[in-house]
Amino acid sequence: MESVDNMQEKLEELSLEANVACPVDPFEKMRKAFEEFKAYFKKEKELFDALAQSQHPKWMIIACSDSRVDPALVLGLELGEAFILRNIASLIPPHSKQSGHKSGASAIEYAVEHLKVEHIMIVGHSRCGGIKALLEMKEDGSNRFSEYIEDWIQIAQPASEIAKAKVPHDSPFEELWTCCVKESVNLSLRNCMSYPFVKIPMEKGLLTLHGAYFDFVNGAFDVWKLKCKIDEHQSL
Amino acid sequence: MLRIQNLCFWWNPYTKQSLTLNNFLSRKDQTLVKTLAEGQQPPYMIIACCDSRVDPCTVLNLGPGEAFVLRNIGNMVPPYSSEKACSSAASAMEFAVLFLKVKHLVVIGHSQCGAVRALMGMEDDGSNAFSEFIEDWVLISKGASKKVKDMHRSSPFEEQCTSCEKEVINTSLLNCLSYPFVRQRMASGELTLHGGYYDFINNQFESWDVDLSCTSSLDKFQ
Repeated sequence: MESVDNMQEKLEELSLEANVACPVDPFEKMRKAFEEFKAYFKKEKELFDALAQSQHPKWMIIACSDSRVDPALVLGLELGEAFILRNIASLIPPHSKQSGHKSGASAIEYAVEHLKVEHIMIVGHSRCGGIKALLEMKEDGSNRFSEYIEDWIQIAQPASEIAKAKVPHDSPFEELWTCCVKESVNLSLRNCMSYPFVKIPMEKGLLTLHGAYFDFVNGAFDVWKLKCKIDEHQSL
Repeated sequence: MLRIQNLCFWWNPYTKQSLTLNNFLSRKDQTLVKTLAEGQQPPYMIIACCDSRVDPCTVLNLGPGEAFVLRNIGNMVPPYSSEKACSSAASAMEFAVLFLKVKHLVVIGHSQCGAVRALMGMEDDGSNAFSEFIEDWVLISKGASKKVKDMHRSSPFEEQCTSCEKEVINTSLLNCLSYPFVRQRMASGELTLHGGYYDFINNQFESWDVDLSCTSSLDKFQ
């Protein structure tokens, strides 16, 4: 893996100078927005004094990076309420000992073990580009279009298989798309459970897992819980 | 409890602007809703921390459709690697830069970052390791931690952490630059990179640009 030092050398070879300059406003809109935010910050002094010390969110939310589905905006969250992980298609891979950077696993570990969140919610959404790409992928890889996106979205491959089996073959694509997003949320929820630091508090009733689907086309928000119950033994 | 029963679509808690379900279905907001239903064209990609206190859309009043957002602990970006790894950051950047064609890529760090604190607190020999995944993740920015410890050897730990929070942003920015598709779009002037630091203790926001300028190598031989 390239280190930052190697990167600097390579940039110099290309006769490019990378300067990380000191404070300059990059864009007018955000500067103005923060000025407005400061006024809110002053008004809610008690809240922000408490948050300056530490955070105690009860919720962890895993949402898609899609610009239309920011969970704070969708759910009207105050700052401090939810620890939020966002990636393409709100995916969580299963627990694995293989090396590699684990952005999801590290975030969940931190939220559950250190922040002691009581709820994890994974939110899928309508018209998810990542899930569409997954559904359109050819098995032989002949229509591969990216360096990283398909490798990432492959995490949800089992969800694609379930959705294709569930939805009638002649249904409109939108129906398959919606079903696959929901199955992907369920897959990510089950993958969450494969982490011991999630499974143990769940079994003790200290942590609840929720799935959700935000439909901004028709104006709906579905929520469901992941229940894991071992039935009573029955003699045959 | 999350106020799901009072759900407003696209509600900003500090401006109190809301697009409630009634508005959503009424004629007044149909244009925005219909446009976003068809697709997204956000001008910004933001890479921010998961911390509950630093939601970038709330702090910077970004509405639906404005920012494609990647969030992980410590707002870290691993460097480009030719080994194909399943990477949330790389896939998100590739999608934002090449397909959404965002104009600005912003890495936002913040005060009191637990991930940076964990990084700064790690012993070199791993003797105080406490996690299965957290430490492996934050070691992406070990260069930042080493630099701060070398430069601010005698400073108190808290001050070192603050310096490291800013250094981690710069490490992430340089790592963004290690991706060929980021460099290419910057070179063509279609993409700019920015750093941001949100200090919620002092209610301040600093921002800075990454300059990528070309010098003619022939000049050096005259």
